[in-house]
Amino acid sequence: MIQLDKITKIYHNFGGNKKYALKEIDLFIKKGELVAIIGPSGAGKSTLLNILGGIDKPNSGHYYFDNTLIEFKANKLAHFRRNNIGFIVQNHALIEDMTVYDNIALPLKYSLKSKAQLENYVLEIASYLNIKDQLSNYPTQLSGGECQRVAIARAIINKPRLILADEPTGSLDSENKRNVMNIFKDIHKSTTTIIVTHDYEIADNCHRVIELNNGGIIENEKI
Amino acid sequence: MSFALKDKKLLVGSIAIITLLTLVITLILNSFLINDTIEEKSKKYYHTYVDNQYIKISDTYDSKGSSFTEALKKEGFLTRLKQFNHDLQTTDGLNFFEITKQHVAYWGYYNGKNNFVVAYDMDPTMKNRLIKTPAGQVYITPLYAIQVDSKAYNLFLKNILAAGEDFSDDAYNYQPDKTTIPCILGSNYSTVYEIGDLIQIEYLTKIINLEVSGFFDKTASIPINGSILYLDNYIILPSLNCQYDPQDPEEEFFQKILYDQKNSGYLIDEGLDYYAIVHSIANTYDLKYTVGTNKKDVSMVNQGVTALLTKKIVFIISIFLLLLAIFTLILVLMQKFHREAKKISINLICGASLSIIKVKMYSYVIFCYLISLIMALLIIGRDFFYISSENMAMGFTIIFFSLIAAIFTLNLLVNNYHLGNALRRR
Repeated sequence: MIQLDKITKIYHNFGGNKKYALKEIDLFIKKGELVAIIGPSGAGKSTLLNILGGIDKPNSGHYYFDNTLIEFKANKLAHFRRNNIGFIVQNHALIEDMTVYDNIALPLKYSLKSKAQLENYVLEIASYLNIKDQLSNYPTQLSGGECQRVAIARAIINKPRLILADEPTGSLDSENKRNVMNIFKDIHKSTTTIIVTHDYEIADNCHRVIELNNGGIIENEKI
Repeated sequence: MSFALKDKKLLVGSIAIITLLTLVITLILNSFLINDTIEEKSKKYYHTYVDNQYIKISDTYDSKGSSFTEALKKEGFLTRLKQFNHDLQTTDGLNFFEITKQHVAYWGYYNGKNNFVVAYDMDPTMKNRLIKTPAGQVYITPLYAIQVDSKAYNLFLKNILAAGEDFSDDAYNYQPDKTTIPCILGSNYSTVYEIGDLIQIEYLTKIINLEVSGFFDKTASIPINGSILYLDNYIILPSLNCQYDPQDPEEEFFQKILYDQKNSGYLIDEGLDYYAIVHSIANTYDLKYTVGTNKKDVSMVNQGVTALLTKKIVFIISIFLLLLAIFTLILVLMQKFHREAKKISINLICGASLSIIKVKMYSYVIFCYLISLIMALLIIGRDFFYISSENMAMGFTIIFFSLIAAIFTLNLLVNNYHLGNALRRR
């Protein structure tokens, strides 16, 4: 499903010095896999996730998604994200001046679904994640766990083929953490899921753990 | 990314950007205008004389021991003055025209603008001085005026009227029974008088009425005493020809003064020995005239250099302000982008395209430029049409390229913005 071929990402600091965020990464992830990416801060985890999700582009290397080479051009990437990717990020990344309903429905607006379709999808997903009662509320009125469920709802509403979760449980208590992990276990049956985490408990629940350090893969272990 | 008025930071930024850009566009176009008003007018009205020098003819009375008062008393002085004038006009090789500053006195209480009053800035008492006349006391106020003959008029002033008519051939002919002579007023008079209005003045020794026959354009100017004189605040009179013999001493005195003024005109320098020629003619009529003592180059070259220098300074300031405007524009937009980066990146992960956001930003830039351009054109007003097509093209090219540069820089900054990090913001 996903194949990375010598992906390199370099950042330049103000002094003009290069910093390798990712250095010639080779990676293969099968369809339906639940993968954890772990590593210390600055290891390149989020950069890898951003490249996989098409919101950042590598300096060199190739990215194949379902055997199709991804071209890192703005319009093509938008189309790629819209049709294939669901993002869940740390701190939920919800738009505070939009209701829960609108936050969840946001991806559908870009895939040009009709109003009726949009409503059905939102209600269905909200019921599944037990946030139906919160649809008219704003994110500031929700608990951390509810916010994360809204973020998950938004990520999966378009039925993406790949879910990318960046520290999805970082700000949750242990009960909410378990709930979120159960949701991931549930949805990965139909979707490939990659989770960036510091949390080894979360990583242990995945099929595979990839450990990054200094922009390179130091361990790629099946559990 | 929305561009709504309720975004106060954006509103303040937009006002600053539009103000700066308006100033820049006005300055850039004006820097060309400064040059063009001279260059274009030279091309249009100065014909082949643009590279020539203009040589002033002056009388030498009241210097070198010869008194003008004494000369006035001499037999046939007026006839000789007229013959001298005739010879200046007709001698082969002489290209003579009459331009003389001859201020007139407004007759009666003056309520007009101070700009029109001779030396008002230096001496406000010039306005409404009370004098005694045989008919009683009357207020007089000297007003800036210039008299030109038909040749000078055709050389420098023809067809640059904002309203009204050029002087007719008859305007230059004066008869004793003529109590009204036409005048054309500088552009600043256009709010004070209308065509057909009469202005009572004292001209030399006569109280006459000036009839307003037109208004010059704002850019009307003539060469005089070594510089270009803009006529905004001037009354322009025809340099009168008196084709009749005076019937009384007063009339004779008037004509003598008038012809001495008329003879103090200019020759176009075409390389002859004007000193010898003018002295020769003057000696024939026992008159004291010379060239060169007051020889003034109507220094188109100097004027050009001054204009060029002014243009350069204004241009450099404009470019500096343009860079400041672009910097402000980019700063305001990037700050807005940064403020909304999280929202933008959330939309991106939901399938939005960055291109739409970029298009919105570039539309805002174009909007700012358009508003500024419209405002600049409103400020420049009619003068805009005096900018030559070459300079206008250059001005608009600079403005256009600054727009492209602003958009290019924004594109670069947005492309390099790390939106992934914005997602993690609380």
